[in-house]
Amino acid sequence: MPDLAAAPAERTTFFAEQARRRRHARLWALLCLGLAAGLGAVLSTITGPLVLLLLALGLKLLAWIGLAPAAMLAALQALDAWIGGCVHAFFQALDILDAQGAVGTRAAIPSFLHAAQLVLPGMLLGALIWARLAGFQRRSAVAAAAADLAARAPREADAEERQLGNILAELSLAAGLPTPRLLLVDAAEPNAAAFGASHRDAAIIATRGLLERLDRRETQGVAAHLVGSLGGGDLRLAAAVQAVFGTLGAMVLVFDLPFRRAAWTTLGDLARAVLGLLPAARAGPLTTGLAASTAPESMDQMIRVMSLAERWPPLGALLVAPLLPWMLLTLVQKLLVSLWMLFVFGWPLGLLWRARRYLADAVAVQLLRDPEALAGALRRIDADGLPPGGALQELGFFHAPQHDAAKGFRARASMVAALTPAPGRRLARLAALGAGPAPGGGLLAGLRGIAALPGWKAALVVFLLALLVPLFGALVVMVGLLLAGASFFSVMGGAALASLVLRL
Amino acid sequence: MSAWWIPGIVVLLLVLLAWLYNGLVAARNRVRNAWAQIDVQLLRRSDLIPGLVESAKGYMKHESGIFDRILEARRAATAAGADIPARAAAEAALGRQVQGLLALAEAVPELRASDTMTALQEELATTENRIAFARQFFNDAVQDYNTRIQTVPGNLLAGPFGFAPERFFEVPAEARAKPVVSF
Repeated sequence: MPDLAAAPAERTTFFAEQARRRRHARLWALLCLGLAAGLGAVLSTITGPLVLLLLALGLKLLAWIGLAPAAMLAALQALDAWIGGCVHAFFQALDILDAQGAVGTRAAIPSFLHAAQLVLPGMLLGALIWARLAGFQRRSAVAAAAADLAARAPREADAEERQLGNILAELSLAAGLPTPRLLLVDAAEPNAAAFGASHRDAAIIATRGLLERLDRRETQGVAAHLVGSLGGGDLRLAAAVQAVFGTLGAMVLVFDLPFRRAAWTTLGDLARAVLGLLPAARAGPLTTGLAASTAPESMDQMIRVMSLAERWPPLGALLVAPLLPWMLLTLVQKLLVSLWMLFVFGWPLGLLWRARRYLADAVAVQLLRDPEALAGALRRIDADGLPPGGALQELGFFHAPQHDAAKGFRARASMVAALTPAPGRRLARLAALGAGPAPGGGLLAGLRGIAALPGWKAALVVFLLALLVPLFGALVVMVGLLLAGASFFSVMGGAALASLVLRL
Repeated sequence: MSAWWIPGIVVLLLVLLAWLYNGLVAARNRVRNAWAQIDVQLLRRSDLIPGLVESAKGYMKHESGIFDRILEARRAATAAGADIPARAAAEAALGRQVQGLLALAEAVPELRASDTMTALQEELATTENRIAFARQFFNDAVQDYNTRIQTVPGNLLAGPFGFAPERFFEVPAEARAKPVVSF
């Protein structure tokens, strides 16, 4: 049997590779954007009416205080009429569906679209929070990463650190960019990362392990990848992605407010971040606070309150009963967010980020005109880990440990798909750009491996693999049904909330 | 029907022209900026050489010829100024002499072990790399600019507005080496 896996990859130029990866990245970015907007719309069915409720209360209060009462009352009436129209349209659409069945779907669309306006205030608020959070993430990126990783300034007297500083200056000349700052982490894992607001204000964080294990040429390869990454706008993209997770956290944070004191602190931090008043040092607590509101643990306090009903049967049940709809809504929305993060958003995000890594690799080859530099570095640091840091910090790193992907599943639930391609695949692409031959790996090599097995073993493997297909299909259908059901409940809850607003 | 679309097309054409012209100016400025970067890096090497010569001289008394040749090459490079082909040739010659000195220094054990020499070696390595990368960036910028002014529609504007093609910073064939220096 000839060794097919070792066949040389088809040669390509770094320009062609860059164009290809850019196209892929654009596609996945569009998909991510659509998915984020879709979930935002569903979550807004609650946030929208809540915003309107607050607006109506504010107007009423202002009228009561005596600040231009006539104008305030007129505005309140207009708001009332608008909400009334939307809610009316929603129930009208439901009536049409009820009367005509599936045939009436088309007739009900205009009414549904009219009703959908009700989520606009929530969507607008979500978009505003997202944009402001992305800005805050960019401003605080270096400080947050440096604090998280305990990074320090390089020592002038140290030859290796001085050399890395020189390498960065060289590569920024090659890329025509300002030289990024250099920070060092005293960790044994060989790795490096780029953080910052944009290519004009960026920092490269490298570990001592990287300096000790790689020679000058390989370090140049890693640095070229990072300089290519920040020159290509990855820093803005990373901030935008982090802000998506932050915004989702913010939208379900509302439900925690009555039960969790920490939620109020996070809300305060969020408000200050949106207004641009939050110092960069609070970035870490804000991110963890927002992530905590999407975690199942955030429901603990609420469940404890609910257990009152069991402890003091008659009175407790009476006290808790009004909370039931709120609890149901919380459950539905948090389920929706976790399902979406686990099964829906992670994959396109992983593919997007992987396309950006390949793109940065191709840019590194363009900068150095030496594909072997990066390939050598990848071979050397293949099996070593990531220095400790927050899960989303992985967005900045040159290399992520493959063997850790399964270990911290719960801790990094939002990141199921690996954000960095396997070193073997990166090496294969670099080989196509002119580096030395890559070790065989990936899907194709796996298939060839099956073909090499003796008859009955191959049949068994193929049978087991075939068994996976219906299982996977069932999983997709189940997740889809769960998402659809949760979305439906969410919309109904939103409509109920909106009609509550109407009665105010 | 009024002829409202005639001024519309004229305005559109003017906007297009302005956009094209701005693109050409930006490309030319990129070339000039890239040249300034090369100049900075060449000057940096030029400033490093006396220090290198001083620290090596004490150990290498029998090799005095190379020091004279280096200083002579440095003088020639300084004299070439902004004349790009002459400067490129002179700087390449200087680079070769420096490489020659480093190769000789490698053979002297006490010199190889000294801290100043290691630091100087790194300084020279990074300087050579910076020059190579700055040259690469400059040549890419020149190529982009020349392509713009020689292809449609840039060539229609290049003549009347005086955009002349720029010359590459070429290294003579014998001095071509990888920009990567590893130790």
